[in-house]
Amino acid sequence: MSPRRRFLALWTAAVVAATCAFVVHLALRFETVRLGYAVGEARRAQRQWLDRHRWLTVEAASLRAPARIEAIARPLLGMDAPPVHDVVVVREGGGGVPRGRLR
Amino acid sequence: MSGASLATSQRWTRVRVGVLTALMSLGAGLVARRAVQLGLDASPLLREMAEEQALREVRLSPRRGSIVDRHGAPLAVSVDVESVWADPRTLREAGVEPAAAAARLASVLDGVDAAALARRLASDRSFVWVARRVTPREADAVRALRIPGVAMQREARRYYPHRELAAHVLGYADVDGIGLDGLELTYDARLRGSTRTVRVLRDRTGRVVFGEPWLDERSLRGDDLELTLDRTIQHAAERELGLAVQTLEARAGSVVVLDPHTGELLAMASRPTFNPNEPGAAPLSARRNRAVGERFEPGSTIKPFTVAGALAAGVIEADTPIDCGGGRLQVADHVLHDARRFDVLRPAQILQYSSNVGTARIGAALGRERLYETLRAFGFGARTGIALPGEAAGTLRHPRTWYDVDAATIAFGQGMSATTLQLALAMAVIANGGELLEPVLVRRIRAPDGTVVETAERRVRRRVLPRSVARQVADMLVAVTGPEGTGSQAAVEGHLVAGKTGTAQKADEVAGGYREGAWVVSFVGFVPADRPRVVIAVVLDEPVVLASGGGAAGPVFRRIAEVALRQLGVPVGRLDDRPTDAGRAMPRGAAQQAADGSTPPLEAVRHASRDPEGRSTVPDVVGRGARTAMRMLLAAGLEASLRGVGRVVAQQPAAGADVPRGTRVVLTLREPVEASPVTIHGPLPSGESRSSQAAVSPPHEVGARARGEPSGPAGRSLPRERERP
Repeated sequence: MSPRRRFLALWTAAVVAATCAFVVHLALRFETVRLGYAVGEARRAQRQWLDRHRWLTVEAASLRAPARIEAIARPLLGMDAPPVHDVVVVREGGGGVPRGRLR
Repeated sequence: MSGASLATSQRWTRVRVGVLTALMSLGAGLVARRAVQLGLDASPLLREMAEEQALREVRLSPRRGSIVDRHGAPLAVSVDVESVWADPRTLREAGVEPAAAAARLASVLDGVDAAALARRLASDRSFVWVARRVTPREADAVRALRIPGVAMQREARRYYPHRELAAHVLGYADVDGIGLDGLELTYDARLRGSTRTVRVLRDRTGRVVFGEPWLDERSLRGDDLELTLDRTIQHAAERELGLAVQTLEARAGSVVVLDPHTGELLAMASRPTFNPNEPGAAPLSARRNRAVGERFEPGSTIKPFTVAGALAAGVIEADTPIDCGGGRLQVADHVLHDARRFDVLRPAQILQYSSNVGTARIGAALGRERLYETLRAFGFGARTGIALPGEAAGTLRHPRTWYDVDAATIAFGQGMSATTLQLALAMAVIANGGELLEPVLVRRIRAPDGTVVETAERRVRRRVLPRSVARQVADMLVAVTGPEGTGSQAAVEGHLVAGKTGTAQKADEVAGGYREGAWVVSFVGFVPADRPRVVIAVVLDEPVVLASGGGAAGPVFRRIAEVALRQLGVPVGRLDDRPTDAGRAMPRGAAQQAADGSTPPLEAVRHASRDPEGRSTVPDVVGRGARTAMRMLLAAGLEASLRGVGRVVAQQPAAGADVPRGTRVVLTLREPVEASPVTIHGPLPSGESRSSQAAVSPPHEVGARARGEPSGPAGRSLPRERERP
C-alpha cells in the first residue's frame, strides 16, 4: 500500500472512531436524561404512595378512636364494660393459664 | 512558458502557500489559545454560568414530627397534601375567562367562594392561592379540569385523628406548620425539623431531569414525641368530665390522672374543649388548659397536707383528740363553721368528716411558718415545671403578710389557690411515700430513623414527708371514701380508695369577697390505697346541680378510676400487682399491724379460707380495722359491706360459715372509746403555744388575738367551706 493510501485509511478510521465515540456519548447522554426523567417519575410515584399510606394511617387512627369505638359498642352493639370481679388480668409473658375462669 | 517565468510562478506559489500556512497556523494557534483559556482559566466561571442556566435551588420543607401516646397510637400526624394555586397571567394568555375558571374550580372545591376567587384570578399577579391543603379527591378533581395556569403544590397538613382527645395537651399548629399552643408550641423546634435547600437539574420546561436529590426524606423530618398519656384513660377522663360538666351544668372542669411513683401523666382533660383540626372555630376560653393554667381555691382538699405537715412536725399524733368546738371557731371577728356539729375528733375523723375547725386547730398547732413551709414543700405556690405553656403557679402568700384569720383558713385551703395538676402531684406525695415528683408528659423523643434521642427520667424534687407519715395519712384518707365519709361516692368496687373532697366558695374577682352560690368542687385521691397505681384529681367549676366535692366530683373520680385500673391491669383484691421495694411489698399500715400481731401475715391472709371448689370459709374479722377486715374478706374471695366506722364489732355471716365465693359479708363497725385529751404543742395564730386545754377552750379566746380582714384572693368576707357526703 502506498503511503498516500495508508494515510487515507488511517484518517478514515480516525474519523469513524471519533464519530462512533461521539454517537455513543450522545446516546449515553440521552439515556441518562431519559433515566433521570424515569427516576423522577418513580420518586414522585413513591412519594404519592407514601403520602397515601400516611393518609390511610390517619384514617385508621380516626377509626380506632376510643370515642368512635364506644359510640358503636354501647348503643349499637349493646356492649358495656365488665363488672370488676369478672375481669381476669392476663400478664404478658406469663406463659401460663390465667387464674380465674374465662367466659 | 519561458524558464524565467516558470521560476517566478513557482516562487509565487511557495509564497502564497507559506502565507496561507502562516495564516492557518495563526488561526489554529488562536483557537488553541482560546480553548486553553476557556478550558483552564475561565472554567469555574463558565461552569457557574452553565449551572445557573440548568440548575435550580429547591427549598425542601421538613415534615413535622408525629406525637403518639404511650402505646404508639398517633395523636398528631403530618401528611403531605396538595394546595391549588393559579397564575392569572397564564390564564389570560390562554384566553380563559377568570369568572368561568373560578366557577369550575369552586364546583369541585369545598368552601371556595366563586366570586371572590374570580376577583383574585382577574388580578395582574402571577401567583394566587385557590385553595390550600385540599383532600386527595379534590386534588384529582382539579387536575381533571385541565385549566391552563392552574397547578398544585404539595404542603404538609397537621391532622389530629382523635379530634378533641387530649386537645389541650397537644395544642395545635398553624397552616404553616408552626406550633401555637400545647406541646406543639413547647416542642416546636424539635417537631419542626430542619429546612434544607438543594440544587437540582431542570430542563427548559422546568422538569427535574436527574430526579430529585438523593436525599433521605427522614433526614428532613422533625423528631417524634412519645407521650406518657394513655389514650384509653384520656378518653375516659374526657368522657366523664364532659358528662359531669354537662349534667351538673358546670362552667368548666379539669381532670389530671398520673402515676404517683413516676410522675407520668396518664391523662389530662379540660372542659370546655376544642377540635385542634379547626382551632379557630372554638372560642379562646375553650382552648385554655384549665388543668395547668387555671388556679382556684382548693378548699378541703388541702386538709390532708396540713395534717401530714403536723404529723411530720410531731405537733400531733394519729390518735390526738382535737377539740372542734361544736363546729364553730371564732377568729378575730370572723367565725369558722363546720357542716355539722363536732366536739372532739381525731385527725382521721377530721379528714373523714372534713372539719374546718379541726383543721384550723391543727394548722394553729403547726404554726404559720411551718404551715407555709409544709404547703410550699408539697408544691403549692410554685410552678410544677410541666412542659406546657401558660402554667399558673397558684397563690400562697408568705406568712408575714397573713392576718390571723388567714392562718386558720389557709389550713383548710381558703385564701390560697392551686391548679389541678398541683393538687394531683401533692396527693402523689402521700401515695408514693413522701416524695414530690416532677410531672412527666413526654416519655421519649425519637429521631426520624426511630432511635431514641431523649428519655424522660423520674425526677424527685424533694422529700416532703417521712414514709411512715405518708402511710399514716393514706390510711386516714381511706375513711373519707367509707360509708360515712364525705367522699363515699368515690369508692371503687373491689379496691380501697384514699382521697379527699373539696367544696370551696369562689372568690369574687370584681367586687371582692366571696360569691354567693358559686362553688368550686373537687376530689383528689389515689387507688388502690394500699398499693397506689393512679392519682386522680377532679375539679368542677361552678356546678349548678349538686355542688359538693363528694357528690359531684366523687363519681367522676370513681368512673375514671375504674377504667384506669382496668387499663393498667390492676386486679381486684390482688396485693402483689406491682413489683416494688420491700417497704411497699405490704399494704400501708399492714406491716406495722403484722409486726404487733394485730394482723395476720399477708400471705396467710391472701390464702386463708380459699377453696378451689368456688366456696369460701368466712374469716373472723371481729376486732379488726375496716381496711384489714376488707382485705381479709377480699383475700377469701368475699365482698365486704361496711356499716359505720371504727373497728368491726359484728359480722354477718358469722366467722367459719361456708359460703359461695363472692358472697357479701356485712360488717358492723364502731368507734373505739375516746382517749383522754393529749397536749398539742405549737403556736396558735397569734404565735403563742397552747395546750389542748386551750384548744378546747371557748373560741373567743383564740379569736380575741385575731385581727383584720381575711386577705384571700379577693376576700373581705370570710369564706364558707362546706362538705356534703
